[in-house]
Amino acid sequence: MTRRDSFDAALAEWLEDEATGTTPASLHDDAIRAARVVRQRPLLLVMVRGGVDFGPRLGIRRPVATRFVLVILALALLVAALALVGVGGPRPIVNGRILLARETTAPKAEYFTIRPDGTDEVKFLEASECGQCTFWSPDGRRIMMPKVIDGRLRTAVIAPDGTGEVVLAFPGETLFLGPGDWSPDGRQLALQGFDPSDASRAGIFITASDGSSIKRITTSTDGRSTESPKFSPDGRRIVFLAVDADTAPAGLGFAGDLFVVETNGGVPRQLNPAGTKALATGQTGQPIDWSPDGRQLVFAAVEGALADGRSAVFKVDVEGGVPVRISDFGQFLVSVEWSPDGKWIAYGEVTSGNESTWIAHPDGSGVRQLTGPGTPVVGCCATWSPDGTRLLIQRGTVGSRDLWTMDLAGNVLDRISSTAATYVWYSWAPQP
Amino acid sequence: MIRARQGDLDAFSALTSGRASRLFRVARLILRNDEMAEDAVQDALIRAWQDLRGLRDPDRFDAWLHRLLVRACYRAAEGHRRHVAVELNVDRATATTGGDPQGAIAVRDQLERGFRRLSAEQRAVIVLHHYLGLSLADAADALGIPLGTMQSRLSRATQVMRAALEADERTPALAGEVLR
Repeated sequence: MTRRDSFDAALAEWLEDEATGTTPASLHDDAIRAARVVRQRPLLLVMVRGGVDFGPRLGIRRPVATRFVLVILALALLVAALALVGVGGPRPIVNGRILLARETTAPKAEYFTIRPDGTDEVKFLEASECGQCTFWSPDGRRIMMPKVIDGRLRTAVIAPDGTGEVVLAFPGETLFLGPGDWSPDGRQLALQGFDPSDASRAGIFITASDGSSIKRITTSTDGRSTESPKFSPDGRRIVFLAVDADTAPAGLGFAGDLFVVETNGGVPRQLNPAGTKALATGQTGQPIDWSPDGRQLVFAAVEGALADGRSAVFKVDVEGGVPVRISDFGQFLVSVEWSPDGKWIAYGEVTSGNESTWIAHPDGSGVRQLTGPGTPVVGCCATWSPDGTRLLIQRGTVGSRDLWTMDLAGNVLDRISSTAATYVWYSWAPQP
Repeated sequence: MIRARQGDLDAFSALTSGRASRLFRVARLILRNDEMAEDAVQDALIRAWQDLRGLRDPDRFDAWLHRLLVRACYRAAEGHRRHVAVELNVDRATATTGGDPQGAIAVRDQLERGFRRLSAEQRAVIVLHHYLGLSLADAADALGIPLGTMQSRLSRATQVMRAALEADERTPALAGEVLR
């Protein structure tokens, strides 16, 4: 080894040794936190500041290159401005309005509708401990929502612009009837009923959308309350959750057994496998969903001890059969939703700090993680756009999130909301 | 990269999280001070976020980031010139040497002292070339200087270090003669 080689080797070894040490754990996080309040500079400003990187082989001096690009950019801007003047008007809106609930002081939340371009936000409700309690009508022209009058929970229907509120009149003095689901033709409502003075009156009720012709289709013989009714696409059946009291871990919502029942009555049939409990967050997602053809259902359920949260997504044929697990096990998987075209199922994991969103085909293949650890997007809790081309997610850290759209490849597209908060519920108006 | 350039900070975070440690080590070598190195890395990352739209070729992200880091180090060195502290970690030197710990410590001490005599610009060329292993052309590109300047700067830095080592090597002998 020559003297020079020896020196270089000793130097390299010394540098390697000197560089060894612990990198401060918060170094990167602190920088990103600081960057969060700093805006990216427009390209033009970066150029003016000489911050454009032209690479090593351009062959011309940097200032000359900067001026050259500035001229090109100015011309491009001029052409773009002329094109805009020629085209005129805002960009087209994809799909209809979006319903969103923004937590103010927990458990209170304000409910709004908003255009998908983030404009025209209209508040229509302020409610407490409500979460998933407002529902679009199938034609997207009305919203079912809770209404508390004289301490009694009732159900009202309102237009998306906050006008035309109609409180449904129900018989009896003590029965509480809260919002559940619209029938596919919009003529009926499924409601969650309970009577604080008589637990035996709890059950799922069906009424005409004007509040007339009310009937009870389930009974509660085991003392469990019934939640989250959801009509099948043909309107012949309803699936619902019989909730176990005080069994769900704090913050998760509730857990229990899933049943399907004919809307004209009959004996409910349990869907979730023995030894499992279906999960619901009570907000930002539904515990169960029908396939668009109404033949199958998907749901998330915990296997084993509820507190362990070892859960997966299951699929079951409505006519009978054994539920099939179609996802890997995760930690508290919820928010299961079938895409409108039937090709995908979205689901999410809600464990704090590990929130993730996936989509997969109904047979469990083609799994794609869209948010959470291992992806560039911090966020969770997806719901489909009516045309099935996008997902609505909440993005950001807990307590400081906004709603964004995302495509099926995981690319973040448009920002919908502009108020960082916790969004406890959101859904896109169906396309009639 | 595309999402980060479009203003997606989460994408930028994912892009840079795996690079932060390396950036810190480079800054630490150039500045010889952990606190200043932290500041320089954060400064570089924030400027990278601000000016990301100016990076035309995504494949050059690392070179571009190194340039921003080196410039941040220069700024830090300029702003805190009087506060630069040099540490000699005897324990680490001893732990990584073989059968001649005293000799190894002496060499490391000489390297440390030689390195300390370099300017921040000279340290940067040493670090990029000898620590990161960049070729002269790539190091020149990362530093945003012509190749010729890079070669002369590296040559000068190496001369300074060699001179320091040789001077240190002569000192014990002279001391011994005096003692005799």
